[in-house]
Amino acid sequence: MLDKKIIKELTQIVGKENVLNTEITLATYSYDASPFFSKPGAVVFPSSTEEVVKVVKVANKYGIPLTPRGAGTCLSGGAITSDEGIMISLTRFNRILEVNPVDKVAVVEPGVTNLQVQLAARPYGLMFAPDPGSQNVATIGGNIAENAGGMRGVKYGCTKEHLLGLEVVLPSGDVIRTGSVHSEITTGIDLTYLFCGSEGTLGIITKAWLVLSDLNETVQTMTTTFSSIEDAGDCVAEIIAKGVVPTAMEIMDNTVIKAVDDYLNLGFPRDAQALLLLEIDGFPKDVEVQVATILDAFKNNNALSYKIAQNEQERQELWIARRSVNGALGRLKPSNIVHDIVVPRDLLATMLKRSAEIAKKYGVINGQVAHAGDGNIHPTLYYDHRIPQEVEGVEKACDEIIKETIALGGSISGEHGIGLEKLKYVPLAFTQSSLNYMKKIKESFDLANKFNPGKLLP
Amino acid sequence: MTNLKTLLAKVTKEENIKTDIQVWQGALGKDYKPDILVFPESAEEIAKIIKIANQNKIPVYPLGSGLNFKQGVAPFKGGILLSTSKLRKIVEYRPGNMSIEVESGLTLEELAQFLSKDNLFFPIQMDNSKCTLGGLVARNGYGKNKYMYRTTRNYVMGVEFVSPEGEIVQVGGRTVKNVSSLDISQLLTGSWGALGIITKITLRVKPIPEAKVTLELKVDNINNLCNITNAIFNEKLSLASLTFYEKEKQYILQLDLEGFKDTIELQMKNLQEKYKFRFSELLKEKSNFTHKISLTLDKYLEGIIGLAKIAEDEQIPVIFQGNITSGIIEIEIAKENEALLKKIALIVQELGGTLISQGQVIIQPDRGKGYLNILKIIKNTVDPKNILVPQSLALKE
Repeated sequence: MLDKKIIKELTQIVGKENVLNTEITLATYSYDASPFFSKPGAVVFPSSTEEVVKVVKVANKYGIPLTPRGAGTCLSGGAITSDEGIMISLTRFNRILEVNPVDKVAVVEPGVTNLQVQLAARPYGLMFAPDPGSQNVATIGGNIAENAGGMRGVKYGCTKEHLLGLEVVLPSGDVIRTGSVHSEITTGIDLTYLFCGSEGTLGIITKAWLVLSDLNETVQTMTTTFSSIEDAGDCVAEIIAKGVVPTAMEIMDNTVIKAVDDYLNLGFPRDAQALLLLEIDGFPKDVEVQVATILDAFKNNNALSYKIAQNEQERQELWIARRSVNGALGRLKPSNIVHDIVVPRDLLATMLKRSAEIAKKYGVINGQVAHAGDGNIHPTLYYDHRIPQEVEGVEKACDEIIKETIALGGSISGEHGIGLEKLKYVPLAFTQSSLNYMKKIKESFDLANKFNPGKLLP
Repeated sequence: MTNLKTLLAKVTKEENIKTDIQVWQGALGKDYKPDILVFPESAEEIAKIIKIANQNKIPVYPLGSGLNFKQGVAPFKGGILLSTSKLRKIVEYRPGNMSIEVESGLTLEELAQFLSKDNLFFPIQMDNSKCTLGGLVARNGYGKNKYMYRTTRNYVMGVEFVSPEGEIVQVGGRTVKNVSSLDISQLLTGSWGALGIITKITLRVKPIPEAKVTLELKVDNINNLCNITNAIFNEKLSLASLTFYEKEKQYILQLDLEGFKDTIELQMKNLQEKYKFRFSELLKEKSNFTHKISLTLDKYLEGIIGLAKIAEDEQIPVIFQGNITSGIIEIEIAKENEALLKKIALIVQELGGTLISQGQVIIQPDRGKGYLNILKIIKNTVDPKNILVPQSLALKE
């Protein structure tokens, strides 16, 4: 716990009710959605840029590390403090300042949830395209700091592609404004996209200019199954190559199919090696043309049978299988670890197979779902944390899956970020000179290494 | 000079080193006076050149096509001008991943030609397709179709560059999703060559749209231009761009649609019937005007009307053209006039935009006092001897 003197100074900035420093309250901020645990020295809840600046200055004065936090849904340990640092929770800093339907831009504070942005945009026929699984609670500040993705990533990209500018409090306490809504016509360097995905290590985001996208009324959803992973992979490749850009293109492997079928009794073919879920949106004619192309691709790649949702209820029925994956697999074992590797899209089937083989070698259950259109795979390894052999098997399998990903020219994280969880893999993914350059950039912002230290960079 | 030439000859072929700089002054102008021009053939050679430059404190200026060089670099005397024109290989082409890795000296034109055989394209299209991809990435270029395809950085998945200290650095990758540590490829994109010399780029590419159509409409005054623009923004369209130019006291509104054939036909028919748009036959050759203004789209028409009113009040002939979907207005003023410029600046400032007059930035967004400071710290940290583009305009007030 922090010194009383420091707590007093923090209290003077944000008010007594917005500082937590008792054992019990601090315990509730000791974890995020990752397996990591670390108790903060204090939690403060600023609600304006000025307050954030003041908190940063107090932390600087006493040399205390800082960690910004949104809703704490981070899957890689980025939202927990180090060394009893000050946690800056931005959940009170949560106003939607403007929705501009002409430029299709929303200006929001960092504590606004992704869902709130969706709701504010909807009356204008717009949406915020990034849709991470945690979108009902995850904040925009966190989405930006982690460059969050989601199912719609295949068509729309991740948070980085939907960002025009930021206001950021730097470790020095300076407040800067990056980017612009209007086109850049001067000669300048835009730091917006370096902050996106920087996991709170370069500054604290206090305002964001978000790109909104047209919400398409026409949506078509379908599923099919395959007797081999290769057929599913080829089908995905053919769909992409023909210029079809689905809003979602999800693959579930045989382990997942069986677990979901046991859970929900949906009547899936239990020997199917892959289930493919596709959603298309757009102008009515565009959807029509693309659905025809997809059905051709199904036929050309030996799809077993397919279903097309005829109404919203049927659409939800098709989605329920995908949405129930975690619940269904959770019944198998008490613990799990989920990765978010990415491979070039042409190697999706190869990686799905290798990842399954690796898990089998170590006797570990590996349920795989993939955002197929991005080459983004979630191998989820299930184990019992009370059995040391299982823990060891999972660790070995994870290491090997990551190494295989890198060998195939892939990336170690597509959505969850490095945080604490993947630090050990970073040196495998980059050369020493690349790591040196990254460290220099971090030092430029934060020489004292007080902003979310120990995360992102080894 | 001879000394520098001897040093460089140790790391690249002698034929790649030129000292007859005058031959090149045509491209850059007489205010740019490097001592030597070098055409390295690989990232390794560039790394060695940069190390020599660091040891001898000689500035280095990377050069792509040279088309936009002056926008990023202030006039200078001395140093090495380093051309990427011998780096033009296709390194890795993965149509199944919709990605291509190229060397930075490859031009847009060459890339387009290569991709077209598989019906693919790189969506950023410039007026002059002779520009290099390295240059395009270094300035985060965007074209007429920005409304649909945004800017270059949206297609950059990975970059290889030589750091200002002469290290070869690979960042990003070849996957569409990637959150593996700091995204340095996004920092290098739009860094105007000041933070590293880009040697390879991995780009996302797309299938060529089934249909493209350009329509145009003649309107007789600014008010009508604004009314129709408003109406078009309320239509559901596969709109790639909406631009206008002045012709014989009238305005030609030009509109590009891109997408699936059936949809484009439907939208085109609607525009023809409802607004009397017709096929556009001739694309106007673009000329650069003296004043360039960038505004948000919701302030754009207000800006045009305000500017037209000033011209009328002052009785000074002003010619307009603009890319509405990019928020850009260009004006050509017959007689330069200090008072007029002040009035224009006031309007742009009120509307929160950017104004450039005769190449000088007059109004731009306030980024906070710490912004330039942090850029300079980054520059000093990665380039302690200030070797790479020491006169970078990207690091000036």
